[in-house]
Amino acid sequence: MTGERSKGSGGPAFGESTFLGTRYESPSRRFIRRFLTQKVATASGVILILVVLSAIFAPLLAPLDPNKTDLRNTLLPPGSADFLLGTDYLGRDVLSRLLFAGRVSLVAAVQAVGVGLILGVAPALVAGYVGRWWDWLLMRFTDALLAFPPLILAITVIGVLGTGLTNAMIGVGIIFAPRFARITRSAVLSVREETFVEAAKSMGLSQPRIIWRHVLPHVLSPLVVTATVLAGMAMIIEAGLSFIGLGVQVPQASWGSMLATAYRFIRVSPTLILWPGLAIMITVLSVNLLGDGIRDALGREVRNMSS
Amino acid sequence: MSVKDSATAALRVDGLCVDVATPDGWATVVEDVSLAVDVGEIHGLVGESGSGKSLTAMAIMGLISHFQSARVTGGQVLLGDVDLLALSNRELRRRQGKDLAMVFQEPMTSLNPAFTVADQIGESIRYHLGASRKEARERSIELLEEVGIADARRRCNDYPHQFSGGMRQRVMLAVALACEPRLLIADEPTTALDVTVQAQMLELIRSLVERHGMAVIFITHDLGVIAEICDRATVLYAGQVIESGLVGEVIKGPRHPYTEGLLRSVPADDDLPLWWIDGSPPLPGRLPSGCRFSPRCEYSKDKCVTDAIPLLLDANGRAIRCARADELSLDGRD
Repeated sequence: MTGERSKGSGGPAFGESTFLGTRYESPSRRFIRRFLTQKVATASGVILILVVLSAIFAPLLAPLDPNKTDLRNTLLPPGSADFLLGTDYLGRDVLSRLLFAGRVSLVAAVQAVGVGLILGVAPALVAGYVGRWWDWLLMRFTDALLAFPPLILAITVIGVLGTGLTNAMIGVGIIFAPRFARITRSAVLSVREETFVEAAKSMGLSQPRIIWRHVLPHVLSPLVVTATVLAGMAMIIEAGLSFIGLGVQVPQASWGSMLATAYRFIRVSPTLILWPGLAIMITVLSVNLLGDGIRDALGREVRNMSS
Repeated sequence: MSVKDSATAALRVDGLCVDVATPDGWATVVEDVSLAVDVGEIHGLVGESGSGKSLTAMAIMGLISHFQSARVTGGQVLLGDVDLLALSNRELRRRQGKDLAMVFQEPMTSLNPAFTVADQIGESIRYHLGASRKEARERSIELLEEVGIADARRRCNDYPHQFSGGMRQRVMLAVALACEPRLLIADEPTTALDVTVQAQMLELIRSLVERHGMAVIFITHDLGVIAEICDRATVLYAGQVIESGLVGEVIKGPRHPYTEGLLRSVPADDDLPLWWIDGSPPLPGRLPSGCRFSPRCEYSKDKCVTDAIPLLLDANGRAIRCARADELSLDGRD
């Protein structure tokens, strides 16, 4: 009981009284507690951490050089000596490539979400708070972007900036920006009317300060959830772009490009397509379930009927 | 035109006018409101919902420019010898929270749930006075102690949801007092509180005013609260001052039928049935001709509905806007 609060002189004291049987706790503590009670979300979080760690330590974990070709040992089945998951059509070790490809895919997702956040959130914060024609202008621009076919937009950006994964992900970020902008704006509109914002104005705080200190913290939770959902989507789009050759460039591997090369040999070596497919599926699923978990842990407390 | 001619007044509002946007265009909802508040004085602003009391407060605070649907169309708000309405946004912001501060009606929502109370009290200290984080914290603790929060040193790390409504309103007072304002506007600060807590709050505000020598505008619809805490009172009806004077005089001897009606509507200990005033205040833009209260007034005569009624001042600083003020003898309360 005493360890529940990080600050305090120990022992339940005034202010630590229980209210309807629920102990007061700090928001971060409450978030962690509520998150951990969700088994699926916790498991997803653990899986995702493992995926990230395996990508970070790929050079240590990978048994072989991912780009080293070995034309005497092409298209070996899984379980072959020296090649745990077999080899591809150039005799490269699939397991090593899978680990290194994870780096590319994860970095790509982070890039796309980052670009989307930067382009989407800041203008929407200002537009939502200030309102008037700013708001109108931003929302019409957002509508226009949303009306544009995402893949065509990404291909256009690649056409302008040149091929390459980072450019492709900047394109994906531009696709994501209006989604972040809409979420941000709707959250700002509800926070803007709160009395504490009015109180902040009456204290003479400047507009940027009010937006930063009093509006942004209340917009974060829907943003975190949207970011995880879109991170999953970014990996899928990256796979798609790499599949059609607009993403990662040879010999570098991403899960999408591995899929793209594997499908050509589906008759000879059907398992080749399985590994990158599984990697994408597990990672995207984990990211999405993690997002759900975060949303539930941040949202309104659900009354537990059994307690 | 000034209600009370006083050179010592900390705040003087002269002929304040505020318009709001209605579907039919701009309508005046605060019309030629004047009042003066001395240092250490609590000035009550009374009226029904929609009488313009909150908009008057917002206009004095300089918060009207943030509304898209309201605008100040005339008048002066003199704090010392500075006209707040004539200041640029930047200069106004330097005074908001420092020279003039406000306490809002809803204690449950006027604190930001994302920050500890020390953060929020310290915010204006750091912003306006340039204090360090540590100084602001120490000052926050002092202020919390002053407004009667027990164990302030520890409680200052708590979040707003860990306080009860009455406690939060005390915290709001601490936020307002943080930079020693010369003017405090309290917009129905006790309306949302329990009656017992309400009495404590009123006592606290009274003692803080005496200690800090602030001028206070206290907005309420409850004449009982006015009688308890205020030195002077101004009664608003449909955006106009209809009666103003020392609280004792207004309550014991009201001279406007609306004030009498409000006084009779305060529940009393006797067995008489509760009184009410028939009808509701006129909508902005649809004001009756002549006296705005005449459709609801039991003393209304023909002369009440023909011409606009001027606000008449007597020698004692008492102001009445009633055509029959000299003929009527109205009942007050003790």
